[in-house]
Amino acid sequence: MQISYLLPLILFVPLFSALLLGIAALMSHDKEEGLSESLIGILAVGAPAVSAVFTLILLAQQLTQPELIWQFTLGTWIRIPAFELNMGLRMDHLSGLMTAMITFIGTLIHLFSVAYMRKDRGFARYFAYLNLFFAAMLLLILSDNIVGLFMGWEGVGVCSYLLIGFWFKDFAKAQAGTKAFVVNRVGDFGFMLGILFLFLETRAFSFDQIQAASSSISPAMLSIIGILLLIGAMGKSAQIPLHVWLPDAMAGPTPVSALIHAATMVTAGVYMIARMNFLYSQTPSVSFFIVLMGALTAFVAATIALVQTDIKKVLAYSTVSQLGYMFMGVGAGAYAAGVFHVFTHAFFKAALFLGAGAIIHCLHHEQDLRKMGGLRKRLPVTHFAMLVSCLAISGIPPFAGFFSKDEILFSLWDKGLYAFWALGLVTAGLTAFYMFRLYFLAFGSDYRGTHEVDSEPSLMKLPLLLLAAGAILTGFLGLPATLGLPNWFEHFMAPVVGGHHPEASVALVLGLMGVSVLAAVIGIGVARQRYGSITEAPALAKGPLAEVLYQKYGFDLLYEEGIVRPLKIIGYYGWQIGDRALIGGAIQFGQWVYKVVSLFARQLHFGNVRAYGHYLIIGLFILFYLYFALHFPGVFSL
Amino acid sequence: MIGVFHYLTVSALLFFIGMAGFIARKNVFIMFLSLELMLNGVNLSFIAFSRYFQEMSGHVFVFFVIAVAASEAAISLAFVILLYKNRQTLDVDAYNQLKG
Repeated sequence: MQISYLLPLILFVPLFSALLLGIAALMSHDKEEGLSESLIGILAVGAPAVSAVFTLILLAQQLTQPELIWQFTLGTWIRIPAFELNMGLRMDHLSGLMTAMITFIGTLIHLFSVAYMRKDRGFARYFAYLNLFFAAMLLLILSDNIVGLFMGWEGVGVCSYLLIGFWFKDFAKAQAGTKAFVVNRVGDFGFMLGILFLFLETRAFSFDQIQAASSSISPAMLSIIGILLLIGAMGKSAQIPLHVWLPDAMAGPTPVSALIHAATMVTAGVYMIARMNFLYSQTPSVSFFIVLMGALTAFVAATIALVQTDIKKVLAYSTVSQLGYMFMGVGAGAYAAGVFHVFTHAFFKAALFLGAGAIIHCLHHEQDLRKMGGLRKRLPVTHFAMLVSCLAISGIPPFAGFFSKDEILFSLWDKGLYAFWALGLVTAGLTAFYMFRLYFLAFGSDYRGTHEVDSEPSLMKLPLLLLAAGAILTGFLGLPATLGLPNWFEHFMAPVVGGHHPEASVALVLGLMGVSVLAAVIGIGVARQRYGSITEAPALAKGPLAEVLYQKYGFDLLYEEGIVRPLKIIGYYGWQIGDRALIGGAIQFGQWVYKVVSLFARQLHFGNVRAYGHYLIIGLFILFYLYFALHFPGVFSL
Repeated sequence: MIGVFHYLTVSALLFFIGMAGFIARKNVFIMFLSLELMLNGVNLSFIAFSRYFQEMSGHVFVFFVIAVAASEAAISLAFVILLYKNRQTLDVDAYNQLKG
């Protein structure tokens, strides 16, 4: 434990800049033009960059001293006799890596956004939200207690809502934001209950104390807590059945999809499970459930992605699918492998989304893959970054995705979960197919669209190239230890999630790798054969199976018919009977009584001033009479 | 010998003359003058009782009434002018817009 003053600064620099940008946005919201975009851009990109530099300073010292954990206590938040809650920050090896990843990728995406959001009227507002998201995400990662984590958790949820509905004048986009928020609330409810149960059992909020007390919790209670926290993670990380919001979240600006809905926020669930690994490693049944949901999600989302025609929707379902992989990894007890996939996925998925953003920007907001094609020559930098990332996500060695995905598949095999391994393998093949379907449709053969193609701004090229470099290189951080190679990533994470050293023969490991590479190659081959040299826009697939995929397995329909519509009906009758008839009726009755009484009373006021004078004097005489009659009885009897 | 009774008689006469004027006349200006007459009728009985009981509080009341009547006169005259400006008449029966 060592105190560092840089730790709170990592968090507060973007928070402060979000505040400034928010003020700037508020001050100019009713004016024709906001503050200069370059000024706002410098502030907006500068704050995450400063955070990234501070993170690297702290992480560099952690690299040389394996036992080093940075911490900083901001103060006491709640102090009542039952407990004391400190606002503490803590950067151990897990959160250090996550922070480094978030600040690095976040800075690049902020940079990209400056080019993407140019000339948008909400420029300052956009960056205020984005910086606020950045601060909330860092709070989520760096908090040393589960309440702080939850605060960050909710903070990123709010920012996600604000950014999905960023162009809120479009009703569908505003609705997508609401959907994301509401679905996340379902998960958050479980998460909140989990925190409360955890507190009842351990009387503590900080991770250290929870870990120390967790061994004394009964297994049944532990499972309940594990499931409740998992529900929160499933909401945030878009796992079946709470995945429906993520594809709709593509309504937001594309860099937002890259940062929030691919690289960082949606991986918060995986991070939380890795953070609570001491809890999940004690509950094998819950862990098995995580693997099950992860495998199901990975497969289902991959199949839906096969038929999507919107470039962002393909990437959205691929994100859901990859999150399924991460859940499989952490569920199988390979926490380091799961987080490693979070890490590599962040790079290549951010590159893919930013590439899609560049395409959308250069094609004047065209998102339909059928109207693209032939962009290889027109957008060379985007093409390079997308190709590298497609290879990485497909699991072709030596790109990053290969190592992390293989690590997960191997740990599934190693745990004896052969069925899930097979499902993961099929999903890998599907992933390779739909990613290269996207690649060939966007970049292969000739241009099919009608819009003019602009060239990508230089501000977009730098983030794309750096992320592509990440997609190539980050895999080498976690070479498979089973082959006797140094798995630096797992070694670095060991103090938090524990070492994990399966014994396996080299032949088996190489065999498994060979099979998964083969699956990927087959997927790419099929995609090339079907879409490699098409000249016309491909027709939509037909048949009952394709129909199921177009309907996304009916999840949206189920929620619409099963939850939204009944609620609307209940709401309608609540409005008509409860509000209008009962409450409104009572008030209407009171009003009616006054009306009837006043019907008589107002006859006295017919507008003649002298009549009012008469009333006055008559009233005066009545008062006199009463006074004397009451105080001097008999005065009028004479 | 003129006693308190005479004063009270004059005071009551003034008051009722004012009241009759207030009820019977239609001219706003005259009604206003009648009101002033009623006030002075009351003032007179205050002074008479004050003298009779050898008490100063009656005087105090009178000064208050005069002060209030003065300020009320200032406002009322302004009202009368405004009323005339608006309706070109001083007949109270014409001011019948405010009815229930």
